[in-house]
Amino acid sequence: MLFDTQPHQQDGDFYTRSFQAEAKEGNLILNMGPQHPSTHGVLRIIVELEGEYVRRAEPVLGYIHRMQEKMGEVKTWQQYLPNMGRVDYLHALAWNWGYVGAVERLIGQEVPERAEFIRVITCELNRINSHLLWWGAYLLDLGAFTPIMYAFTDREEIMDMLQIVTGSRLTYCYYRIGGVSTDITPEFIDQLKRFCTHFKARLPLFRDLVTDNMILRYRTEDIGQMSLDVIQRFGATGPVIRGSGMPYDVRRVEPYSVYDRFDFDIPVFHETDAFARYMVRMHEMEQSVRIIEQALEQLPDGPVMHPKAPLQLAPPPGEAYFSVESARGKVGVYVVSDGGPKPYRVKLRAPSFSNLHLFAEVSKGVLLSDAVSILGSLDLVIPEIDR
Amino acid sequence: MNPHWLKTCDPLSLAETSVWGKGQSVSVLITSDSLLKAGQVMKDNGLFLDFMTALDVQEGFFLSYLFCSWKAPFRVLLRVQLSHDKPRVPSLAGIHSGADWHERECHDFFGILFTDHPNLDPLLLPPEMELRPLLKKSAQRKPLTVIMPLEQIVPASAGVQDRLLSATRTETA
Repeated sequence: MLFDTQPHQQDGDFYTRSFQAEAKEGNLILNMGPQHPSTHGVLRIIVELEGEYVRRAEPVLGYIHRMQEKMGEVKTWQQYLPNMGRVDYLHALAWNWGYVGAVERLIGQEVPERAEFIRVITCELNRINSHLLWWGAYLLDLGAFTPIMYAFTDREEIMDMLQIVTGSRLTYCYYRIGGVSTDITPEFIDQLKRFCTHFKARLPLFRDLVTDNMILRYRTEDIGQMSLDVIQRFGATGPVIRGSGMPYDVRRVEPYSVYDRFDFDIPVFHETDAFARYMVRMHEMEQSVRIIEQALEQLPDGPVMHPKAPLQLAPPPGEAYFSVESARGKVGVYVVSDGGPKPYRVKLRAPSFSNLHLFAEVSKGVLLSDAVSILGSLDLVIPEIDR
Repeated sequence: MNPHWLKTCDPLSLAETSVWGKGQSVSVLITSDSLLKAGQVMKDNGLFLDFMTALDVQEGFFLSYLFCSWKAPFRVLLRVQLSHDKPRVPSLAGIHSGADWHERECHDFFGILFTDHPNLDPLLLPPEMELRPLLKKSAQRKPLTVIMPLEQIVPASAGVQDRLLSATRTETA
């Protein structure tokens, strides 16, 4: 036996028992989750409270662990594709892209230009979608109910549009090895153009309604400050690092696809607090609209699937890694082939995994209510952490 | 050309890898004894730990630590080979805090022991579970020589190493 699982004359499970062994006498041990509304899924955090202050916190993972990496080893290369829509259900297309990109790199598959543009358009649309949900849900955590209604009005429109091209509303499986499954339709393009104009007018409304709100400022400004050193040690990426003054974005640092053809900014804020991360995401939505507009303008004609894209795959032995920028940070897919019809190993590098990891360190000494604010500002998606 | 400071992590072999995308990727084979030193070298040169994982092959475990630069498309892959019999490797959690959970996950899935790790409790699997899901049956294990190019897994002679490290120095990070 590796671990002692004998019942003890103590309360709680394995994790609570080992956590409370180090607790100071008189302190309260509290389990936040796995069914706590502010954890948005099934994340559990054990906290040791001294009065209202968090002395120590430890995330407990694995409540929706599905062993995605093992599934990769028992399915064929193509069969594994739909799994990617279920790793991060809010930015499913980023994971789609990560996986097909890795396999394409492994077999040296080229992608038609039009397909690359469609990937950029849909991936950015999905990013706006993800940020909108985060925005609504984060404010819900902080006690504001109205914003999520506004966010979902626009989110519905995006989901309707993505449904036209991908056929599904949430767990997309749209990208294929060597292209995308279907071409975008003229009605999609029309609707998207209308949406871009409309959404640019919505953003100032969001700003007036929420961003300048005093309660939001009190709950986020100077809360959850993360120094760049901490973030770099933990390898956290996405809006978390860009809210601490480092312009790290995979689209810029390791340019992939056709991103180098568009003119867009990487929003960076230096305040390191929860509000900085909030502002990064608000600005990112604007930049995504900019990218979509440029991509629609430059959209070339042509096929959306490479004519020689293989349907059945047995890649040559070797390894490949592909990383893309998702709404939460750096998504990486590492695949190893032994020349057979199934992957020898698939490793999924999830940004939320690293982003949550630093929570234990930054939540020391904060108020319990601020811990909720910090947790929300990390924008976690639990299926991606547990995989 | 490889940056010269790579020599300070006591490489057994160095190889450029091309399948990792734009920019430069270097695969560095080291022994588990020099892992801590190499981890520190990566940190000193401004690289962060992207992920670490293992590969179960006939020869044993093949560990890959991917380090990336924050500013340029530059990656270093540290490779360590371990035997199936009592696999042990020092933990990098003291240098790169992010290694903590990646190593815990690796311990969950493969049963590799990370010495001096702050907390090796199961991270994703239930604590009472003894199965190591990513271990392969011996019939399924493929030889590493089939999967990886030879120059990434076999120690190079000193002369070859010098040649790989020689010539102009590249500025990174």
